Amino acid sequence: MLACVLPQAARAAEEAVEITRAHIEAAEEGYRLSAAYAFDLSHGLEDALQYGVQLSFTTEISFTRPRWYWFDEKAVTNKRTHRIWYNVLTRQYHVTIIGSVSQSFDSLDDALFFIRRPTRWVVAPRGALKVGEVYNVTLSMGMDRNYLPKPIQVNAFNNREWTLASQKKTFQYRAE
Amino acid sequence: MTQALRYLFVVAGAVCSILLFLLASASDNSGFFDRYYSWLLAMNATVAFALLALVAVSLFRLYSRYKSGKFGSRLMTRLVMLFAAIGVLPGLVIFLVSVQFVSHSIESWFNVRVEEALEAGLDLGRSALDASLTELRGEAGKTADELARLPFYAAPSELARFVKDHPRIQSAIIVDADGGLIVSAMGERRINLSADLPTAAMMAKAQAEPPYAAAEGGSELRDDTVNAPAPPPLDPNNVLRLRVLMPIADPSSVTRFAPRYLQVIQAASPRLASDGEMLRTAYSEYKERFVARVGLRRMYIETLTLTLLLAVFGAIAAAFLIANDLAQPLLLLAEGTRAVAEGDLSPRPIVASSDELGTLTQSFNTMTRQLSEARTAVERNRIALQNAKAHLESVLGNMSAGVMVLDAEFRLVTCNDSVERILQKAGVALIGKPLGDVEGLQEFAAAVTAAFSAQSAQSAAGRNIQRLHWQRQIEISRPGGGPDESALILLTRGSRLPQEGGGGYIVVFDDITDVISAQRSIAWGEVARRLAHEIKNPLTPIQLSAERLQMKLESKLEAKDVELLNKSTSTIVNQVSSMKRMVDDFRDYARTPPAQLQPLDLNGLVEEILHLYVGDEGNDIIHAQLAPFLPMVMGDETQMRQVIHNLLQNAQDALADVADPAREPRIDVVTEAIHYQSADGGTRIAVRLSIADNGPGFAPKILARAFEPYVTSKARGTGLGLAMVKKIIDEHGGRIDIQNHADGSGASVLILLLKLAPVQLA
Repeated sequence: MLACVLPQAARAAEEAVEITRAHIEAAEEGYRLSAAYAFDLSHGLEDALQYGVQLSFTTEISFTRPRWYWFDEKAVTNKRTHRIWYNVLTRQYHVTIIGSVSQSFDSLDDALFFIRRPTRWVVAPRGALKVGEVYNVTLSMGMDRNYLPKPIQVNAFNNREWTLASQKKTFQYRAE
Repeated sequence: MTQALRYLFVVAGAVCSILLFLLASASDNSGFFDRYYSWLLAMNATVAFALLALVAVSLFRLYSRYKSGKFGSRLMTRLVMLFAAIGVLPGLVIFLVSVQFVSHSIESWFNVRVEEALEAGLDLGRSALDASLTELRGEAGKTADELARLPFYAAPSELARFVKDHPRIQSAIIVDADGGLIVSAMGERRINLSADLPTAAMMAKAQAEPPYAAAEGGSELRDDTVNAPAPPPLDPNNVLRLRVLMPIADPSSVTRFAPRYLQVIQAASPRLASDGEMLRTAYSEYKERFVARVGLRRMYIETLTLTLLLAVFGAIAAAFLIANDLAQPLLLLAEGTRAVAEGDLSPRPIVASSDELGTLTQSFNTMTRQLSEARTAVERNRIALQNAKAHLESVLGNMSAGVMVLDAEFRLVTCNDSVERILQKAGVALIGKPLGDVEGLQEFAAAVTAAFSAQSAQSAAGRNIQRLHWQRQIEISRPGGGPDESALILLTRGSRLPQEGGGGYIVVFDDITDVISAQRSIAWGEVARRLAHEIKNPLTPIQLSAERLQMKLESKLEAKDVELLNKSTSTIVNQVSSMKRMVDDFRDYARTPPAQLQPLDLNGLVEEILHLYVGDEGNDIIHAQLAPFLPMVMGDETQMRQVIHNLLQNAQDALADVADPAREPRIDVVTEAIHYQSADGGTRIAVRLSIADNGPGFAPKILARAFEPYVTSKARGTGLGLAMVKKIIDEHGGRIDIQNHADGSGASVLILLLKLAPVQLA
């Protein structure tokens, strides 16, 4: 019974977030990720958001360099979390990049737009990558259930509506 | 239950305990829980399935054993069912109560009135905020009007006055249409202005439908993320505040100045802020729980169900183990009982426990051991008895005397082999028949019956009560023999079996024909000796008298009478000398000088004697076959020579009688060494001399009495030859046997010399 449900849930999760654009730009301050995602909140998620539940979206990126003689070298791993919540009192949506800026939006779409088209993100400082080497970049983005309040977490584990994640997208990048 | 299955149970139990523990404690560790919850659930389910399979296998095995009526399966079934019920029923009850409890308690967290109250409170808060906003908007509108009236340079002082008049105002600024800062005035605590600048969206709204008024802030970062830094408490974003953004109307000229906007930010009253925050938090948490309740309940029930399944299967599995443990000694005992019933008294494995079951098996083993010992003793006695009986039977069987056991009606009950040998009747065929009905035994039966009757009569008469048996010599005609056959003389003893054993008679008899024969020859010897003595004495006077008569009368008689005289005298003399010779023979027979035993080379003697016969015309009929290295025997050379001469003479005489010309006459003289076992167990050597001819053989009547004097088949001969031979051989301590060849082709004389010369080292 459980075995039948698991693959379905996995498939639903695969289709939930689509990475429409992802590439690395080399800038002065470091290597920046320019990405865009396409996803929609499910009915349950939207309801929960309206009730004031905080949702977190975590983007994870890692640069690995294949080595034939040993495990792949993990050059960089980085993680950024967007948090969106709705203030029922002031009727505003707040999107916070954890450890960074916070922004308020009057409408859900504006707030989600901020997550779907995030600002450029410096994923690695200059010098973290060896120039000229080719790295495998793995990118994934999805709702992070670790940040959910505990009772909701419990619900999320059992509810397919509460699964929102992308498949890992891997592409190659030659460091400049 | 096999050992493997046992271990499987234990391992499964351990695994499911760990998994259950993890599942139960999963809500503590959210990260771990998140990643592995599904796996945990799946593994639990897998273990449950494995246990189910295990239990199913066990149950099936038990069922099939039960069905096939295998020994012990009924007890096992009962025990398993008992223990399973003990394990399963409480689990089921607890499960049902828990499920009920979980569902109800979770549902009871939520009710409509609380929700409505929260909604109402929220509305109240919002309207309070709205009221504050409206008030602030009024204030700001007034100031905006004032600013519109005032000249451009007076704006800062006006703003400062405004801020000063309203203590809760955090900042008041004038911005251009793009949001660029023109003039600002701040409350005491304000330093960082950048956060207060209106965003493009706010500007757009203010331009589209002025004034823009909104409450903002109150952002409270939850501390459940470890990484997130705690926000500074005085961060403007974290305080609930009201923002009003409205254009400043420019009455003087539309084109002189770019449009300006006044933004006023006022902190909400602390009371409102804290109450509102509390309300918001409460509402959110309530809603969160409301959202989560289905999942929570489902998870509790899933966990409970899994726990129940594991507990149930575990209980059944444990029931199998316990039942097995409990039933094992009983089954062992039962098995042992059955084995004992079948006669297997080998000790059973002892159950190593100090309780009553252990004691029981121990005493059971003690019992079987005692039984076994008793049986061994019985067996030993039986074997001893059997041996004794076999010994007795063998003694009886190998006894030379015939033994017959008769019942009260003189029917043969048992007899030994000698009966068969002596009477020439198959003993087995006689058993059960009355002795008198057996062909050829009528005489014997009559004699025996008569003897017993006589004994009874004697007993009745009261004489010789002590004598329990009778002894009689019974002469019966030789079975199967013709009228000229010599009679069989049986020395028969009879006794009665005690009446307690059913009565009956025992008849023991022995063929004493030979004994009689021997006695006869001794008697003959004695007679011959006396007769010879008696006869020999008058012979010489007779002869002398006859010669004297002849001498005296010859001259006085006429020629005719002289002739008669001479003739008669010579007849008397001849007859007397003949009689003398005969008497000498008798004397010789009767008074054979004792043998002078000396080491004698039998082969040499035989060769020497044969040498004498070579000269005869039948020299090629004697074939000697002398064994080399024949040991020396003790013997009297003269007597042995006589023996060999006599036998060879007999053989030649026998061959002379042969009528069949087709058969070539032949005499074989054979010497050989015979190895035999003496009575004391050692191996000894004897020398055998056999002289065989292929003549007509002995007549049956002669055969029985061949060694008696005056028994002869020859027309002339004294009949003393074989008697002499026998006598000599007896003196040598040897044995002599004569036998006809089985195919009727002649006879052999076998002489066995038992006394050998002591070995002399050359």
